[in-house]
Amino acid sequence: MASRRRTLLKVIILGDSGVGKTSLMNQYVNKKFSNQYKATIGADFLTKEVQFEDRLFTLQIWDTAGQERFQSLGVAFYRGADCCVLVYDVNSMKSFDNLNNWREEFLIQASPSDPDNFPFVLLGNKVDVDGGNSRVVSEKKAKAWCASKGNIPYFETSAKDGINVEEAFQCIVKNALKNEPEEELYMPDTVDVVGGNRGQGSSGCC
Amino acid sequence: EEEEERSDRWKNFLDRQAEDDESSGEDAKIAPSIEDEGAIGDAGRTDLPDEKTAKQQRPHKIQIWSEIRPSLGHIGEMMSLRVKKKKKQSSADEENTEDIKPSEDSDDEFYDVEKVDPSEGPVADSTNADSGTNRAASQEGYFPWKEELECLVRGGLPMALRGELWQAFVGIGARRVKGYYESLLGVVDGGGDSKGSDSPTKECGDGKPKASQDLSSEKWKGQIEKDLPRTFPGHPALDEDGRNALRRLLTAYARHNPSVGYCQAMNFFAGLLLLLMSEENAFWALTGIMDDYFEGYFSEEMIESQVDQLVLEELVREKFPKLVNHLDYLGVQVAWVAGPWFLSIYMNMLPWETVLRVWDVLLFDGNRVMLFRTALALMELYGTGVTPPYFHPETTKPYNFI
Repeated sequence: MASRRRTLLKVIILGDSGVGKTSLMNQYVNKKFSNQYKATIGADFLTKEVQFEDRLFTLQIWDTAGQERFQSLGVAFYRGADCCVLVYDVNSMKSFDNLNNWREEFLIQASPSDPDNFPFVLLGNKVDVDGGNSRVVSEKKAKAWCASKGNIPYFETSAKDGINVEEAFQCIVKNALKNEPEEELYMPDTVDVVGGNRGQGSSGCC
Repeated sequence: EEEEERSDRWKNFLDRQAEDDESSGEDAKIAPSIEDEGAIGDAGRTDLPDEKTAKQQRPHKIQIWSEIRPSLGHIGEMMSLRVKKKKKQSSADEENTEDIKPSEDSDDEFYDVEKVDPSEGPVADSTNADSGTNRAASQEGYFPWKEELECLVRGGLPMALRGELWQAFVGIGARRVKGYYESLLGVVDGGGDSKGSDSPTKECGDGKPKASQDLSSEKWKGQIEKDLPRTFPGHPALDEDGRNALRRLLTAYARHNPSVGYCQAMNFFAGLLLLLMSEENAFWALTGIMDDYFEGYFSEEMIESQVDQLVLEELVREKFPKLVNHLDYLGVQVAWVAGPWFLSIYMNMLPWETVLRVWDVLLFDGNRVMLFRTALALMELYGTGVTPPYFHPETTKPYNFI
């Protein structure tokens, strides 16, 4: 296991409370959907190993709390992200309108070196609800928004039915890798906890 | 099994208190009322979070407990001193509420509180655990059984008594203001809905706030509505009535303390309290926890929460340097992991029984030290020696992380 080389890719999922961030993450990582997700407090993360173009990566997916207040806890974990996934609920205009805020907040907090080209991916979730009848944000509108922000890739997903989730995350991985150039192999091949002196001294990964 | 043994120990203790009671006379009069209330509470308690209790023969249990309930009054009395004390002092010195940041003392204590063998719980360290109570005790009467009680608390409360004892610990007797809860609910909803009638709550169920409501109340309302179905989803007690109660409770608190309003995680606290006690009592317990134990924690800025995380990080750095190295190496801060633990008071983070045990001690102590102890214990138990930065998706939370 440990002898293979790995790269860590860090992905942050943002969006309003209740749009389905946790569900998307769980559908992707565990292939499960539950109607009974609990509100996320603070932040939480899961990892998944993915293969992409013959390389093995560890995807570290951060699921965040939707309630604004938790942002005051510090969003230091935005830093070092390789891709930011914005999620809204196609049945909620407000969650769509807030996308600008989430995006800007992310760029401020993560302060990536090249904000204009930082990879975002937009997911319009809950397309399954009510057979699409309760939908209020059209695909066209969402795509227009994406175009205005530098052609952000867009997927319409259903975490419940597993629609487009795999595809979306494939794209997320691909885009996260675009952002990778200098920082090849962040992770060495073994991790030695007992040995100690490997710490980078300060937190924040890059 | 263990629960039974625990119950016996508690019964023993409370029996003795009850005996003292008879000699001192007066308090016995208060007892029956507590008893009645308790009996009602018990009836509703058959469907508690952990399945285990269901196995016990309830009627039998209730009878046993009813004999010793009077002594709960004593405990409540002692804890109420803490509340009254606090009220008096709150203007004078703010530090007292905050002098609970763990020092080296609490670290030592933490080893004593290993949950593994509760029976051998700490006796010696009861002195520094709660300055508030001690102060109160020394000034307003000494409670010779306090140490023993503390021991028992650390061993865990019996499920059947938990609700009652929690109420006593938080000192809701001293907090309660008659009619306040109703009046809070009456502000906008037109009032009178606390007694289980179903009509008035409907109007907040449609998601669209009424025009008459001011903006600040509208702000948390939407969030509460979103979270109601996400609070212990699927729990039998949280049917429509249960959710309505939860909505009322959270709404009342938000109006009671607008500086906090509603913060996610409170839904879980409120939900748990509702499972263990009557609605109004749950309100006073929630108020006690939020306003005293967690003052400044869930407000917009979440200052106290941030402070706690910084303190914890220092502690972890000191106690488990290798773990911190590992986390540094992963680019993960202690606060990212433990923040949610603290904010949720470990709910949904640990198995239920463990969560309840943490709450037992926390509510008894009257401060947040137990949060730190638990975090350090978890890190010690699961943190070191686990090399891979990958975790098993299926395992329960804290273990899967480090």
